[in-house]
Amino acid sequence: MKKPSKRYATGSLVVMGIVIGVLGWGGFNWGLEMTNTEEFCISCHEMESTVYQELKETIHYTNPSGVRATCPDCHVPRPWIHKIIRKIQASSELYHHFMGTLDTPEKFEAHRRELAQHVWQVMKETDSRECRNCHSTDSMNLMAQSQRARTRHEQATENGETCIDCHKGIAHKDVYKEIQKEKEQEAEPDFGLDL
Amino acid sequence: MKKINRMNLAQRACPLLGALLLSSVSFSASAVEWDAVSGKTVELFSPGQAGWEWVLTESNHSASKSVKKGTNCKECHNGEQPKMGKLIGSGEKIEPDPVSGNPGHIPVEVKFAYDNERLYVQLKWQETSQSSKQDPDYQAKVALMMSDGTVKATKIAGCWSACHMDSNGMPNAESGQDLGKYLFASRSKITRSGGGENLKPASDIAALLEAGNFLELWRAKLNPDKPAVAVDGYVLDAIHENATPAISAQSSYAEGQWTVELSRNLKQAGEGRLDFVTGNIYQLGLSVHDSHTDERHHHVSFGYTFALDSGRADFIAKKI
Repeated sequence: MKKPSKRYATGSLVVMGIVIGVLGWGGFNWGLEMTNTEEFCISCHEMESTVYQELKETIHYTNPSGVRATCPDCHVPRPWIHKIIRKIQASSELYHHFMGTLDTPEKFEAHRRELAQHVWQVMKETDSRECRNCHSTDSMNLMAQSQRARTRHEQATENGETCIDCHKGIAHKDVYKEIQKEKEQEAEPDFGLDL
Repeated sequence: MKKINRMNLAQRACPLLGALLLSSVSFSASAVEWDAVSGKTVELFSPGQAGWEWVLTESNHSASKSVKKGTNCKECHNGEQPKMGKLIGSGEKIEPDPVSGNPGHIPVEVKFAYDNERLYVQLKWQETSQSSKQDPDYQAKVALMMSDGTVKATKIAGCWSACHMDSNGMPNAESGQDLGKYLFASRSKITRSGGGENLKPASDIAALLEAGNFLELWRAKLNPDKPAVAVDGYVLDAIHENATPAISAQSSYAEGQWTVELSRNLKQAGEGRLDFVTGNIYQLGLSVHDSHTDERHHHVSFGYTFALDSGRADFIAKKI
């Protein structure tokens, strides 16, 4: 068998490989986690001056139980492979940051509906995976909920609905109603005459 | 009724004596010993300008899809009536012209009883101190709308099934047009603004009436010093009032508390009249126009149910 190197012993190469591998892998994950914090997200003023300020007014930011949801809790998947995919997708956000696509409140508002609908679509496709980082229907005590919440959660479970079907716009400015209103104005209602 | 007439005479002869007598019982003898009948308190609340189309529109009412599938309003909103009524009655939501002093909700004690001949309903509530003169003729009015289960919308939403965005006093009412309550089934097309102009042909309306697709309507118009005025009829394409009511109504008013009894024969010939029989579940919606209010400025209940003697209903009429 041919030696991989005349200068270094095979054992040394293996050790060096392991060290480099550990440092490389660790560094990669360290970098990944560094970009997976609220501080990193709001270091861009596009996020800090808009959606972050809106989040601060909601129950996901401050609540009786003292549990706070930060940006990545809701917007970055926890399973590793999905996290990597999301990070690769986020490279387009970097591109738009440097292009100044959303660099004024006016520009952000002009794109808000598109951005919101994209997030809702992803959450629908993943069965609200990031909501379920903290919430699960199994651990809900329905009897401790209001009658309205209890009824709606029971129906949602029966009908196979997912969190985002009802809970749109709960952590940021809600644009769902105005989008829905425009759709309603464009289309005839589907009221059954038997109602 | 004779007792009420005597009181009127007394009042004319001596206002002070009349006033004293008015604070006493003004019922003619009831066939029902109401103290032996248990009742339930129903919270009536201000509906504002939320008609049936509003309820079914998602941008107004996030649970509209659930409603279309048949969820009764109470399943989500029972217990919220005072809070909802306060928001609406104060003009904070869906009421552009709030009545001063409107508490937003009125708790009404409701009792049902029946004997071999008649169905009796008693309503009892404490008057509010709203400053309204919308209806100068009557200090209060009560109404019941009932179905035998044929009208699907009434199972879901009680009175809202008959209240529309183009009805009198509602946002899409056309000026000069007198459009009251009606059911979707009587229209060929409904938009988010209602369907008032899209009336089905008379033959279709007659068929709907024959099939039981109507709401029987009982009303009593009240003043403390006068006999209750009974009005009955039905709602389908419009409100149809009978020239001669089959219902009886009597009322008493004491220290601000109204007590009203309405009754009619269990079976009564005539269009738009239900047969009240054991074994069936009836849908019920209640409203009170208190303190001289009129039209939409009433307080309304969600949809309830009642049955004679036994059954899975909110109210069980006691056999006497």
